[in-house]
Amino acid sequence: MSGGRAQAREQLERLLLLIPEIAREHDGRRLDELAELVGTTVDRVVRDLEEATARAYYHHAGPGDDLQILIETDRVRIWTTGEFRRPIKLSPLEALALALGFRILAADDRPGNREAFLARAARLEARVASRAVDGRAAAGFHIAAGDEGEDGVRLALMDAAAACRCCRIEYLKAGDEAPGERVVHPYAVGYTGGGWYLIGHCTMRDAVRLFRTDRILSVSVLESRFDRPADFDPEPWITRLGGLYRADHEIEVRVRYSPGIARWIREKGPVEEQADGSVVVRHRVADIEWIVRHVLQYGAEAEVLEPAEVRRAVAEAAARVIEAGRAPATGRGG
Amino acid sequence: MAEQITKLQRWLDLIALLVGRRLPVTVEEIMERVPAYAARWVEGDETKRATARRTFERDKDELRALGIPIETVTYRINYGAEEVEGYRITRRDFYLPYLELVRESRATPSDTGSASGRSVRPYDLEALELPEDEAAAALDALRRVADLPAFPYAAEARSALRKLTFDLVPEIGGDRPVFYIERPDAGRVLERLRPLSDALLARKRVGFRYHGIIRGETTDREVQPYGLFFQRGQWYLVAHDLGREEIRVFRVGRMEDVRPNRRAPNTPDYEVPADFRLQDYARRNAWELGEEEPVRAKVLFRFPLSLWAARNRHGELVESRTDGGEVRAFEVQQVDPFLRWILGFGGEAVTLEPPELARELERMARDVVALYGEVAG
Repeated sequence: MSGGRAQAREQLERLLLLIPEIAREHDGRRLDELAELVGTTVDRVVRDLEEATARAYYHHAGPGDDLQILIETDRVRIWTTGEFRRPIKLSPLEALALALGFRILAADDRPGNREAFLARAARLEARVASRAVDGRAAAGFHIAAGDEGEDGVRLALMDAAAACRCCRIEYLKAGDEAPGERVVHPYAVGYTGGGWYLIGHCTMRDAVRLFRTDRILSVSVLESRFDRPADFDPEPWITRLGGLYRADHEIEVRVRYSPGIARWIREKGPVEEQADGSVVVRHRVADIEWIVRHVLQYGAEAEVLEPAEVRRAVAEAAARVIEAGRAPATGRGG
Repeated sequence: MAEQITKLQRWLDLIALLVGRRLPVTVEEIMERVPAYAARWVEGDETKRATARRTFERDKDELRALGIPIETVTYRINYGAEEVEGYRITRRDFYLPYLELVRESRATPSDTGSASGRSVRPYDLEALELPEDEAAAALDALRRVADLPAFPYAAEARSALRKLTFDLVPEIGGDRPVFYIERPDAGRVLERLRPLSDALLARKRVGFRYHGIIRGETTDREVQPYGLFFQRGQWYLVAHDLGREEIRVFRVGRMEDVRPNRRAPNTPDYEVPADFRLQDYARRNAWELGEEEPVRAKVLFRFPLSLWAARNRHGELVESRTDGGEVRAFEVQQVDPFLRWILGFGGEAVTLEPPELARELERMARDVVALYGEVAG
């Protein structure tokens, strides 16, 4: 019952979009284009259109139903002077999707602009939606695909990436004595569960590099423009586990996680189970600073097994914590 | 014949009959002119007529739920002597208004960024003038949710995008090269998320099996969904747990066998309390969650980590030091995750107050040093 309803709903929504798309083109549209347009298969599009066509068998031709559909091998044409020549307003769920999308954009915006942006967005929603988005429905969703500390840095990078404008960034690399300035060509901005990253060409290194946006302290968008390589694709940077990472030189670090926290580690990806209930993970890392911080956050529940240099680095970092706690008023420790 | 007419065809017939009609259509006329109803209605058998009528009532409700604006109009005939109820769909309520892009440099609508130049305007509808930045924001908003990992209404976001780009060319404002990376289990999460979000919108109870990570146990839960939030690449359900009689947060990826209550789909099972605020559960840090009385902790961030803490607004600035270091205050509800976060900075962040937190951090660091006894020397 509900399956039939869901199917009819999807078919109706597809058809009410397909018909105007086809009808406005004198020569009709290619079936494969239409399938791509509505995100389904050619077969599905043909079946939907055939159902609409079959109405002619039981209908007398007349006003409001003068819809003629001609399905050819790879094309479809529609002649009509009646209804369905224009897409319908957004359905309640489409309008909800739009409202939630606007909220994501507002969260990216500078704090002072958010209210005004959302007010304009609400006016637009009301005009294009079949009915106003229910405030209760929208309040049921919260999308924190950013960090609340964001102050326009990521927005500026996204705009610069769209406009192919070079940027001067102030970047604080973990473990550096001070932030450094770099000029980058922002190719793309990407989100993983771990945060936001910029993939861009670093003019200092003359290579494409990955930057964590939380470590970009400020951005100045420059007048100069860059050309994004036509073959640029973030895909090679995406790891099997849904992270962003690529390195020319990396080492393998084996870390043992105690039985007490093994459950959380298993959720993150493949592990080697140990007889005592602990798990061992082989991390591929380019940056020792990163793995040291990562392991330290588990306290004594995580132990680097090898290599020895990383074991030493973790022990030294823990020793610095003790030392710093004893003389907190002094400058940089270590 | 009625059996051969599909539901889609019946719906199309009903919409085609009602849309654009100046005068409302009475129920009798609908019964006679929509072939699927007429097949039962005209035979005269009372049971069949009642079935046809019920089918229409259900269709009307379902189409309205989809946003098809079927209007009920009461009007008088016979010089006001008789009151009749009828139905219609006005074109202005049904069709998307004509979207006209307004370039900032010119105050007149432009057809360069609009695809509507290709199509005639078949109906008398309002025209909606859209400044370029607003049009770009709308398209961007829809792309962002459509790409969000496991977003339950991604298909709806894509269809909305297709409707708006009927008039607007998709390239308006430039396509921001922004991408979200889906976790490998996103498909599995979406399968659970869609019934959860539909139940949330309809205020229906949901049962599921939950794998609790803290105790490592799998339990059956019966909940009233209050909200869904996405954080750090994961979706979470905030719900009133009927077994435990309190609000709990569940990670959607840890659920199995999600079963919404399918009885009385149009009647809500519960109401979300007016004082419920979803944001209170979607805190950014693990140490901000919990019911305990918060501890105010002061942490010194040494230079240059101080710049990073300020850029990301961690805590509240209490003191700026001449060496570039900054003391920032935090309201800590759960000490352990907070101290582990500080420990990760390897001495670049120092807990100053309260002293018991500073001592606990030192103890944690000593445990780590002890673990590597032979290398620490």
